[in-house]
Amino acid sequence: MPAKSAGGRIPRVQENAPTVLDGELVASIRQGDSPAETALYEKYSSRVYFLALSESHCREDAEDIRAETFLRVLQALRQDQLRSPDSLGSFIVGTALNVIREHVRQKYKTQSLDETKATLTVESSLESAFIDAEASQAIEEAARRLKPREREFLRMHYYEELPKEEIARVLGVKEERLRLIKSRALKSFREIYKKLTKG
Amino acid sequence: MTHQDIEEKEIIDRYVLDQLNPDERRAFQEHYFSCDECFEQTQMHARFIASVRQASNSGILTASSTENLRPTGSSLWMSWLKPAFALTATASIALAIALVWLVFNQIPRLRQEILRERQSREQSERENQQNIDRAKEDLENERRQLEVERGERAKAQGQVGELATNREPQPNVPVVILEAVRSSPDKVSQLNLPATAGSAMVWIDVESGNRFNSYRLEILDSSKRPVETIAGAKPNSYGALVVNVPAKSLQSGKYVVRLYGVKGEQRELVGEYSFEVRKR
Repeated sequence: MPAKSAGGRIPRVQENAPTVLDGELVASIRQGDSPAETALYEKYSSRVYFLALSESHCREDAEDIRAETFLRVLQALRQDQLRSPDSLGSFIVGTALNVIREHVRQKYKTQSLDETKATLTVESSLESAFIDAEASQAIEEAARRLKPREREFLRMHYYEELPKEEIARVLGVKEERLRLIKSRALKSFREIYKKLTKG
Repeated sequence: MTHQDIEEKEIIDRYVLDQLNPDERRAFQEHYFSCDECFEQTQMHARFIASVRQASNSGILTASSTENLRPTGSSLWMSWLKPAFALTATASIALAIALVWLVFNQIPRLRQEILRERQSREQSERENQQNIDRAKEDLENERRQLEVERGERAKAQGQVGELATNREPQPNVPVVILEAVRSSPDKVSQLNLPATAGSAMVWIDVESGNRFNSYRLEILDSSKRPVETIAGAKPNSYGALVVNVPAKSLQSGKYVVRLYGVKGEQRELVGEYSFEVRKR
């Protein structure tokens, strides 16, 4: 079993990593090839973690879910339980979602998944799940580049989660304009964030 | 799920905000498991939304916050530059409007005026040319008229001069006295006529009595062509006919004078005379 990624930061995609075909990975793992298992983990680890974090909004739970998911996926592959190697991604997603459900049931035995998600939202937020120091700094700098009306839009849309029609009415702009504001703000945030994380 | 669907339906935004239905959510999860680009964007989107929420919580994104509305370093510069930009933009717009006005209004109007002016000038030139032609024609007519008048005047002056010459007393008027040819056929009277002489006098003795009321003289040249005819002549107190003959009618050469007696409607050849003119 490969080692867990360190800390609570969301692992970023290794853009220059060599692409290994799922079919080759599956075949190698069936034959007991340990490096192939490591390669499988490196390829899908960050995605499973992100998926788990998206569902649970809890970094500790996401780590546990990732570990359990890979345990089951590798076991299934070793036992040749995957019918189509091309559907490896879909198989991992399904496995991860099952793990999440079981994890939630075990943690909140009397609640359904949806109810649990509501509870999780109260206890652990999107902010605590995805934010880091660089992201906080990036949004501050990006906000300075925005006009007051644009900052107000971001707040209404992402924080208050108001319908776009209402936001457009309050701010006195067309709805098409809102998408443009969001795109500009995101682009600015992305540039600053990448600059900060590279430094 | 295609990238076009993801873009148009704002799938990433809605995924992070947990606004997709279960089927859409599962489909998108499977998509970003096999798509590095969408996975990276989804991660960044999650960070962005989380940051926006945190910033909203802390008041950074609140527009009503005085601190946040205060211009930052760069926007302070922008606030200084804004009037300049506004001025430049206004000037550019005004210039563009002026240019459009010139191109679409003034230039066509000026072209029309130039065209009208040109047509008017051409019309004026045509009229001037016609006037000049008419004036030339009038001048030519006047010139011809003047020439005619000059000719008439010269002729009149000639006649006046001639008349004056004829009327003026002339000394030493040449005289030729004629005698009947039958009486002396070989004798030819001589008339010496100076070049300056205006006339010459012809003296013919006629019979006395009242047989004729008057006499008629016909002067013929050597070719028998009449050069002068004088009618109504009557004898003077000396019983002679004296007639004045214009010198211009007489050239050097021989002449014959036929004298007729006239009574009522009848005339009778009375005599025939010869004389020779010698002009000097």
